[in-house]
Amino acid sequence: MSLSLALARKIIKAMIRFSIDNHMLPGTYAVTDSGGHVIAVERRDNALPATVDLAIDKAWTASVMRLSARVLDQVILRGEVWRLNVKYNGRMTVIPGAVPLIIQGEVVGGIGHSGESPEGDEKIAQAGFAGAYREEEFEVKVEKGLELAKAIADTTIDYVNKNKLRPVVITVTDINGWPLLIYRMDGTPYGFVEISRSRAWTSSAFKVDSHKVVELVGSMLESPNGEGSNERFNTTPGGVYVGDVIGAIGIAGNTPEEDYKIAKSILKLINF
Amino acid sequence: MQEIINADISIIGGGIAGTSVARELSKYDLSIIVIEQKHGVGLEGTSTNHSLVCQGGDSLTFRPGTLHAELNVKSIPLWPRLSEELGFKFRRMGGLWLIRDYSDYKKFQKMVSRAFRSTLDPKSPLLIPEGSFSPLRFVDKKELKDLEPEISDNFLGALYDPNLATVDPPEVAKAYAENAKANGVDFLFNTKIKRIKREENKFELYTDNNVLIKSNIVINAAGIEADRVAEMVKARDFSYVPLKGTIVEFDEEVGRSISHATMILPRGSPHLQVVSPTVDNRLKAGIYLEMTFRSDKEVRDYAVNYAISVAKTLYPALRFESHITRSFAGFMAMTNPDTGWHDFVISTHDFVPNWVNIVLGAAGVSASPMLGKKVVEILTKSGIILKEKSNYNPSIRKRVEP
Repeated sequence: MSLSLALARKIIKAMIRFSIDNHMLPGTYAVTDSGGHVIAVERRDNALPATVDLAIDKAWTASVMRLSARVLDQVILRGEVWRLNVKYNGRMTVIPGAVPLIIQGEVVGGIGHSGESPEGDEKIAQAGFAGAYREEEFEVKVEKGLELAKAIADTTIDYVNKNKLRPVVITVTDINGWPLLIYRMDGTPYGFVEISRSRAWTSSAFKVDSHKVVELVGSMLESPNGEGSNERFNTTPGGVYVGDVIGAIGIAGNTPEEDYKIAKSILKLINF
Repeated sequence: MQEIINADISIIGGGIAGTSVARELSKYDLSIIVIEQKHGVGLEGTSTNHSLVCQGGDSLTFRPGTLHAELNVKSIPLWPRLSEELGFKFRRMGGLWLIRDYSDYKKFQKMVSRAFRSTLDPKSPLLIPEGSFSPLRFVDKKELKDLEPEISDNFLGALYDPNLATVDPPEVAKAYAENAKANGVDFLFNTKIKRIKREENKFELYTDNNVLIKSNIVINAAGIEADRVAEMVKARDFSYVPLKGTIVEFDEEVGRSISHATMILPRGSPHLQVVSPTVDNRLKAGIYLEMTFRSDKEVRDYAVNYAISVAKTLYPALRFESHITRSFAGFMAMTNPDTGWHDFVISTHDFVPNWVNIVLGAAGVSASPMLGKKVVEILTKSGIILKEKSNYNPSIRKRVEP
């Protein structure tokens, strides 16, 4: 067993099943690799937008510290969380719900959940850990937005595999630009995670495809990455605006033109 | 034609948890049925473990505040009487925590003082009654050799724990079951739960045996399958990972040369290093631990070799290789696998009333005398009135297996 996108998705399914069964609040479910880089993130429709980065940062913390936030807090830091929190721009998230994934005695990644109480978050993240060691897949029924996002992701993975393209990162955002889903296909360099998310954000923020934003607000070209505007501003092709149930999708992994082509083809395939 | 059985309480699983709870509940005026998927009691996790009963220093070092610590410590004084009542073998052989260097010594010192604070201090909430616990002491190399003549010369001494004991867990489970049966509990073997329907606060348990069990209260003591059973009624509010342990058993010939359980503190490896005699003078060594799928029951060479190497490290002069009787792998549930702070789960579910989940894992057999009492406490707290029987007999036994 190794940490792949398939395993990460199984872990997330186990977490969602656990939280639905126990009538817990919807949240964001994140799995990162041993370097703390996102493999899969899913946010349920009614979950708070802020849970996205909290969940990712929890998984990141568990990955890079190779420890559960519970141990980090009670054994290592003993309440003095600020000592670590001033580092990494506050990314170190020492709140229960950050759980390392251990396979064959080694920490291979992190699982993060945000959206419940700290204890609830921890229980859900642990359910994800346990889910990795279950033979069966959990069947879960999620809300409309996430369901659609998953269908888009599945279609993308099929499309990329069928056309023998390089693996990609897929981001699907809601109409407010907050991710509903981020999947990194096995073999995609982690650098594409933020690119894909930025393209999706840019498209949903300006309600046009990411590269067409230049036509809309040309002056921003003066600073190529739109610094000063927003850290997510990215005007390279690959982000496509949808604007119905979901906001936009962002693809990254091949050349920008190819990424754009993939995104367009996907939307055609699922009749958008 | 489907057979319908009505019961006040059905207990899923006839392992150490199911049988001990059945025995405790048989003291009350209830109709109880135990459903077991195998042909007898205690054939899964109950029979595949090191069979030590945490009676001494070890149980005192369990994480304070956990159910794991509470039930184990409270079980300490109950074991000798239980063994007399039910007539199973209980051997108090004592344990030796071997000291390799000063670091071990410091760790054991800490353990002794923490053990004292948490359980022997008169103010402690988990006070052990006088007479059920002998104090731990350090022994030097010479005394260690007197206690265990075949032990390796590499050890500087040991922490001697006179309390550690062993039982044969399947025998204990059988004793619990037979006593429960004699006191009116029914047993249903070779029956697997397929599906559970919950209507209001009643449960209908559908089995692969064409038997339908209708019951007011369900106790889920399904061992390593407890999560799957709980999911049938959406009552899983716990998670665990199956932890596979591989143990090698040796015959009486080497078994007779060793009279104490001997252990080394694990250092830099998750595996345990224990060599321990059983009630009938055989020997168990191991334990190679790995988190894996529960279907992965295969006993692997590297795990067996590890167990033999542990025995050889502790007793280099004995010829273990030619005395192996069997090697086996068993599963225990490990809760909190991310922190390593294992704990028991014995609780009702917030949204599924009258449903009790039991997850034991490590040291489950040791805590078994307290399990039933805990379940009774939980049921009473949730408003169920239990009426004691007048004709309960604690030592009578009746054959359970078909």
